[in-house]
Amino acid sequence: MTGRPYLIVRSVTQALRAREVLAKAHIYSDIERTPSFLVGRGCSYCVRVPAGRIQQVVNVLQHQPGLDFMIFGERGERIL
Amino acid sequence: MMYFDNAATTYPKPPQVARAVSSAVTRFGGNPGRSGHAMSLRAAQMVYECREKTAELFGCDGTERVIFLKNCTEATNFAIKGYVPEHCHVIISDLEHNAVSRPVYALSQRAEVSCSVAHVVEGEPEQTVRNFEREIRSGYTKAIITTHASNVFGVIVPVERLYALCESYGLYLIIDAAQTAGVLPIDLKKMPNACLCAAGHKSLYGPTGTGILVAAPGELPQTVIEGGTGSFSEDLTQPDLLPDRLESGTVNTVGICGLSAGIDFVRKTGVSRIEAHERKLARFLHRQLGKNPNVELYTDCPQEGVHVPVISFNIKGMHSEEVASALNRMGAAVRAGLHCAPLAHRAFSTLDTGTVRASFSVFNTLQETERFAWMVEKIAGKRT
Repeated sequence: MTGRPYLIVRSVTQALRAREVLAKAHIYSDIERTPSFLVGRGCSYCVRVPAGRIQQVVNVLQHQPGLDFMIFGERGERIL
Repeated sequence: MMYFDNAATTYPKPPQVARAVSSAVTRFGGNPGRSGHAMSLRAAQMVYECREKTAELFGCDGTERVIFLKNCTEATNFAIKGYVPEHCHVIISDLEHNAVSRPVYALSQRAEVSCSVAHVVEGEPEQTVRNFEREIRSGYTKAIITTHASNVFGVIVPVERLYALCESYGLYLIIDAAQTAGVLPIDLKKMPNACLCAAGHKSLYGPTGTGILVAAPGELPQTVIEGGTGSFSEDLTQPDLLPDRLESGTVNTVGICGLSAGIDFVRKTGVSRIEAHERKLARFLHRQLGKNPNVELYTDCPQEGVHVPVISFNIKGMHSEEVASALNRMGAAVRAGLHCAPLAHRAFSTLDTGTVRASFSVFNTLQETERFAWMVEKIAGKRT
């Protein structure tokens, strides 16, 4: 997979938490507004994560309380 | 001016707070949580870091439960109106500030919420807890709402014991920590389901316009105001996640930046060191004033675990406002009157006169406290 997948969370606070938790696991990411092709009209933030480390990202974030997320590929295909 | 009105708001602020506020205007000019550009994200990061510091200071395990509001009164309103359902019963202490008693009264008028007032016994935590328990109406009482310490008399309410009581009866505990956050240790690990309200501009040394609500875990509170949150904009309903649910409209980025520096200052200095310093000054003042037969004091000399460092007094034959005016002319700032806490004054039989309140911060010194005691002596001496 090329490009950086979109990890979509529910708020900027959750995005910041996700980025921080990932950084502690040495997975570096960036926060962006979620593109409209993924969320339609709504406001949302996403975390761009490294393409080759999706499973690690999931492993790190799945135990975070209250952090709901979805992961999409660069073309909008649902990964998780 | 010697400043002894720190229970209203602390002054001076630490220099790093002033610097943070000043620089925030230029460093954090974007609107946090609204846009994707670097300025907005930088501001959001700063706000997030302040949430983390706040959560850590209070032992809260959920950063997102830290809500930034404009003051402690807004926090108590959001908590009381958010968690107390209609047609129920709540218990408050007899030391409450209007930040608690007015919203509870408002609910009694429009939501059929009845209220009992429990007497706090100075230095007698077990008796105090029994007084609260006596007021519980099984199945009908939903919350205990209490100050952590009286803003007038400094008397501490045993909130950890009340938390145990609340847990055994399935009640919410809403704590007004306006006078204690930054002066007394507050550990939500020991009270994980409690809801905490605090002022940012008092003993956390942030600027005015900052308040904190640490929401209870679990059930989301009802909203008091609704509006833009930068999330779920397509929905007309308020988001069902924190902090967005309770933070409508642009947050006070500049104030939060100052609060963040204030919390850094408190953590670096140490809550216990701050409390010990202020208590030393309060005890000194209490002893000095106690020597004058024209001075009326209302509590025992401040003791650790019993009082926060606040001294209320009166001079016989003078209204408290007269005394405060005289002190102002001599160069000392205090607050007089009812301090927005008529319930507490009723409990101490000072509703007619109010009291003069001297309250301390980490920046007050023994020398100025000596000077203050001398000023009171001069004023009181004129009455003999």
